[in-house]
Amino acid sequence: MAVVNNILTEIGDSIIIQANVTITGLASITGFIDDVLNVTATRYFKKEFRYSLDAINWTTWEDLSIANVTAIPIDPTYDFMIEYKYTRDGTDNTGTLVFNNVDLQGTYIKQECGITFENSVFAFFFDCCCSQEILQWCVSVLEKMYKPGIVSKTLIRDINQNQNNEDRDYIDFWRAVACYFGTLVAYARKFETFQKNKTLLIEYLKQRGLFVCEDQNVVGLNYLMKNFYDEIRHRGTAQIAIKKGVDINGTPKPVDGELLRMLCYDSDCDEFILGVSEFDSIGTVINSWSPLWQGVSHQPQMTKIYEPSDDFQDLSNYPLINPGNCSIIADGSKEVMSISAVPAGQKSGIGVSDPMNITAVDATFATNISAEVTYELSFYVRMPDPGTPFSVRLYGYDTNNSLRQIRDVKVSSLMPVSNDAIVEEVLPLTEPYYFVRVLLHPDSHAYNTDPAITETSIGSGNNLKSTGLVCKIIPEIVLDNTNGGSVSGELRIWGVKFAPAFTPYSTGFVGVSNFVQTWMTNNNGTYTENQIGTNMLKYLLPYRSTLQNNFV
Amino acid sequence: MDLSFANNLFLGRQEYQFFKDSVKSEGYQKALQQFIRNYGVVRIDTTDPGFDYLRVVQGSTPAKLTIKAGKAIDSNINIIHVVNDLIDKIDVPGDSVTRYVVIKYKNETKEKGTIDVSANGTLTGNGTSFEEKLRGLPDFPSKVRFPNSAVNTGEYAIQSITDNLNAQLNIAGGLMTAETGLEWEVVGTFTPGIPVPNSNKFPFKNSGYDISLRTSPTIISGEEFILAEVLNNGSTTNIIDRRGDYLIEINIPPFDKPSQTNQVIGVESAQYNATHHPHHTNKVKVGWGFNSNSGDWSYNGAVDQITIATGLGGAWKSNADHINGALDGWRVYFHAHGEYVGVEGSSLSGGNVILDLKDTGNPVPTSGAISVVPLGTQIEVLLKNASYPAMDQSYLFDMSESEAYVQPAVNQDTTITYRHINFDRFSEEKEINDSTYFNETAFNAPGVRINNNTSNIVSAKYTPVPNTDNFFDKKAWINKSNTFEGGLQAFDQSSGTIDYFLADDKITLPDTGNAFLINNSKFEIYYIQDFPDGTFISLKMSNGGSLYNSGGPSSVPNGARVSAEPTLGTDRAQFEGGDVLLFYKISGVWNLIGSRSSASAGRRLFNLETTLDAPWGSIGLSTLESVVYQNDNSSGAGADILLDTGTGSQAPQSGSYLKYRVLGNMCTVQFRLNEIILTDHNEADAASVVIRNVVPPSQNDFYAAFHIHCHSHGGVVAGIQSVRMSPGGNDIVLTCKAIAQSTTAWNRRYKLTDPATGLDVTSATDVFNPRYSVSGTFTYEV
Repeated sequence: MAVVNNILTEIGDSIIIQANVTITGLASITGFIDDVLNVTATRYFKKEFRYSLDAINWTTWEDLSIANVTAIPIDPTYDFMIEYKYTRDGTDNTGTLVFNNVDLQGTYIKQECGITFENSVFAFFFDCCCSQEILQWCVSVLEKMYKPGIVSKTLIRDINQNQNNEDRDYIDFWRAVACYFGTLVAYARKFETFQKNKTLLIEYLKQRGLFVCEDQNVVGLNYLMKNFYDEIRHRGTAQIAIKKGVDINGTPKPVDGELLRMLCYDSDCDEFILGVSEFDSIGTVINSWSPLWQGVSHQPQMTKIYEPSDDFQDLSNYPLINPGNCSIIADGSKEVMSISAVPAGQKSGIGVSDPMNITAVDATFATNISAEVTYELSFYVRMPDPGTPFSVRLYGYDTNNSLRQIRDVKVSSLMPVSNDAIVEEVLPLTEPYYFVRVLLHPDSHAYNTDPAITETSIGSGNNLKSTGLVCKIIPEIVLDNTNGGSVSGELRIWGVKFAPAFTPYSTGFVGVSNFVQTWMTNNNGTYTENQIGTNMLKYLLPYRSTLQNNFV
Repeated sequence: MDLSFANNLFLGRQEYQFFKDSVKSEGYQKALQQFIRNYGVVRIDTTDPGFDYLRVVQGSTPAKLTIKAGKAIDSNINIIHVVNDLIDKIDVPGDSVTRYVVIKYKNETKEKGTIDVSANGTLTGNGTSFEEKLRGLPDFPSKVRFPNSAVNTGEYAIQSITDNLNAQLNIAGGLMTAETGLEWEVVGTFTPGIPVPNSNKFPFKNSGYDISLRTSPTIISGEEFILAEVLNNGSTTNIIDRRGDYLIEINIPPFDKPSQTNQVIGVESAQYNATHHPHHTNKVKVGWGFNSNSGDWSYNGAVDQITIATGLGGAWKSNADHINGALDGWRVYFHAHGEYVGVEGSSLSGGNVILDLKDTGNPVPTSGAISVVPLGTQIEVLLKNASYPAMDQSYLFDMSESEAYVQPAVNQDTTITYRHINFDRFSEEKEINDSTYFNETAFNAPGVRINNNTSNIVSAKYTPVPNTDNFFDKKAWINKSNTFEGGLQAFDQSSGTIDYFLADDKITLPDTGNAFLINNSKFEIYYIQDFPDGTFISLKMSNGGSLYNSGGPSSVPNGARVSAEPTLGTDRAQFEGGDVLLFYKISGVWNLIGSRSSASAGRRLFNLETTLDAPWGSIGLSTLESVVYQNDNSSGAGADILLDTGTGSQAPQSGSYLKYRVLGNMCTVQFRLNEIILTDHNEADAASVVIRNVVPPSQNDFYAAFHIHCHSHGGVVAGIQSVRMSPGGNDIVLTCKAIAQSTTAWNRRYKLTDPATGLDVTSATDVFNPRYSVSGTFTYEV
């Protein structure tokens, strides 16, 4: 005779399946379904069951049949328990019988726990007052109160195992007492291992003062619990806005910075810019800043791609088309990207080779945007060789990095998609660096003919607008020899920036230090936008910072 | 209004606009508007003495107008500045229609100079100031526009600025077309991607102007100004300067209303102005302040209170006249330093006048006289007589003077009223208070009060007291000291000629300075009497004793003349046994020709040494008197002047008066102001001028002076031979003395010239408007 796990090898072997679950709310039983293997006509299970309607007193074993199980006098208020016994039977002693599972079928009515429970702290931890965590302890203690030993026998019970519900009053009384304490016990047990409980862990971190997103996984929450003081130390630094992966020091970090966590930041599609305006970018600074100016140009911290400085530092920071034609050279005091020797029919410069189908690597150069914000792609361009054409385009992608429509803001919405802002344009002079600004208007922007909306800064080409599904873009600034001669001239680019074009406010502040501007999306249902701003000022930003959030 | 700057305050367009308004439209503009009454053309005499600012003059052709450079200021305190002359700015149609040249301020967005633009966007300026108005890369570049270009019609960002005349556009190739002479405007630098209304573009609002030619004179008051009214008839353009109607004028801010009542003002005294005036122009002292001398008042600084123990002024002759509260709101002027302190309350307490002063925070003098006067800068005292409204008089005095003299022109009842003035604000005209005053008889000639004679002001009327010695009362005497000074003698011992005779029936020498000095004589007052034609001169002592009788000089026609020195010399010894008789220190003579006892007895001879720098006084002639005046300093014949009112039927009407004043070769004739007719030539006496139909003035009339000179056309002084009333008594005949050049030229005539303009007014009309004050010069042409 041997029973190994759920395998029975010999006739007479039995396996009792106890459902360690007290079911409250069972309205009816319609049958059962089991899953057994290797059953033959001569090798089969003898199936029996017994049940308890009060989780204490059990019936005798009965054959497990549809008729028998449906005959159980069930009531939703009962604490119903059932046990199964599968005994190998038959004549064939060969082979094995395997029991996999048995399911009792019926209807269930969720027990109403009452407003008292619903309004109690317990409801936060337990789905139901009939939670197994509670009922298990409750039933166990109830049985002790029912069986002899604790309560005097003068309180008559358990004479006939409550076959006819004659002990119902007794059981109900003590059941209420036991379940109440069972609730307390189950509640207390929650705190024994709160680190495993996401809710408690989140609450723990919140109460300690960290900002976390409700969607934060337990691993991340445990990281925060273990690195609590490190997280506090990160406040007032750029670490609050570092995306998960590695932190600003290159240290692996499985969670976003605290500000991002507070926003429940979605790195796939959410716009996020946190920038501190330099002192010459607020108020009134002659030739540098105007108090009524609403533009964002010339503010490195608002720059989204690819390097904050005007000078090129490392071309690996840029997506490149035909990188062999690109190099960094010095042009006077400028470190510029030189694009040259582009063969006929090709183009080279900043961009991805196949914008229609970007690779995972290409996608790393995409920058998130909001379809509600106007952006500007700006750079300086010089054309040492006259007649060298350059083109500027913007490609938009959705959260899955699929190409999405970018349109010409000047034309009707029925017109074809156009990623072209400037196409094979040339400059009249070879010496100066011309300033090129291409605007990407939001999806909501009406098609327009106002030059202030449609014209690029050099009067040629046109500005663009995004569409609703675009949440990231990759720009293209290339020496465009697609239709050119055998060998093009040289194009020099400097100061490539992509940033919001303007703010909905001017920055005519007086006496403001640490003026912080953000563009971000609040996905955290816990905090309103005002609360996020308040929290940022109170906890995350340096003292005396002035904050202007732009929620998109 | 003001804008408060504070930390965390957002400064946006509204705040900056408010700040600008608080400084400009609600600031200095409004402040300046308070001080400007009229807006228009600026006139500065120092820099524009000819007032050419914005003058409209004819241009290169009659139909063209040029506007001269200049400035004007409108009611918005915009300065209209025409920097240079606008040559041939306006063409005037030759349709004989009156038009108006109107200028007004305009915000000008065009910048000075013009631009040539190349196809590659290079800007070359002509007279431009790129560096002042434009900004290139890498800063936030400006944008420009060319308003008069038909092809380059966009707004172009600046790539770089080389200097004021050279710049480069930040523009792609092939977008520009080369053009020259483009006007330019600065569009501004606006946040990219945000539509900008045209009204917000072009932030540089330069001061400009708009000059138009209109057929209607209707303009916007304070903002538009008519410079000239022009009319071109096709050949010439008539330009009428209208700038004078639109000159900027400064306004005087309002001041406090002056005190409205004055219970002090009244007449304090009246004196004769001159002994011989016909009791007009008496000096009437009007006081409007309450005065106290040093020592008669005290100051208590603890309570800012002045206690006046003794004071008076105007109608208030003492403290007892004080009326409680009458001095409230007045000012106390301290003569010690000339400043004042306001009076909050006044009362009479224990015989003292108590003044509660406003606390000035500074100590006030505690000595020196004080005057309590109404609030105001000036007081106007008005003198009126209902019968002679044309003779109303107005005197203005500084309020702080407290009292002043007025001189009624009417020698009748004069109503005295007053108005307080505080800069340009007047109180209601009111009559002065009735009171007693020291009248004219209470003062001697030098103005020293010699008795307490008083009169009353009743119903604000002052009634002059006639001077018994006044001109019309036929007084004449030598009454001024030092008439003969510097050793002048009545007798020239060397020649034995009698140089000076005094002609009157009685001559009073009131002081020793005017006495006939006789050595060792104990007498100081003498009479010279009985001086009829051809009679002797006699000197008698005041006690009636005869000192001297001249004897019997020969009779002289038309007057008595004594020239026989030997006779006098002989007689002289009778004075003092060989001493010299001197007329000593006589500097002036007032003469009154007294009533003549007979046709031949009233003539008097005056003999004036013309080298004597001593003026004669007026000569008043009574009805039947005549004066012969010898003023001829030459040896020519007929050197005398005769003032002859005629006798018998020739005499003026009884009770009428003429006044003559003869000074050297000039004669002043005073007469009534109506019905004067001048005839200018061909009279029987060729060298005469006849003033006809003179209505001899009555005693209470007023006189106009007519100065008559006799001199030749070449300027040779002829001298006046005679002035007399013509037969019938209505004409004055002036006879100039004959001079050598005139003896052969009989076609003479007299000309009346207006001394103010020099124009001959005689030929225009010979009839002068009644009551027209005539002052002219007769010129005797040879």
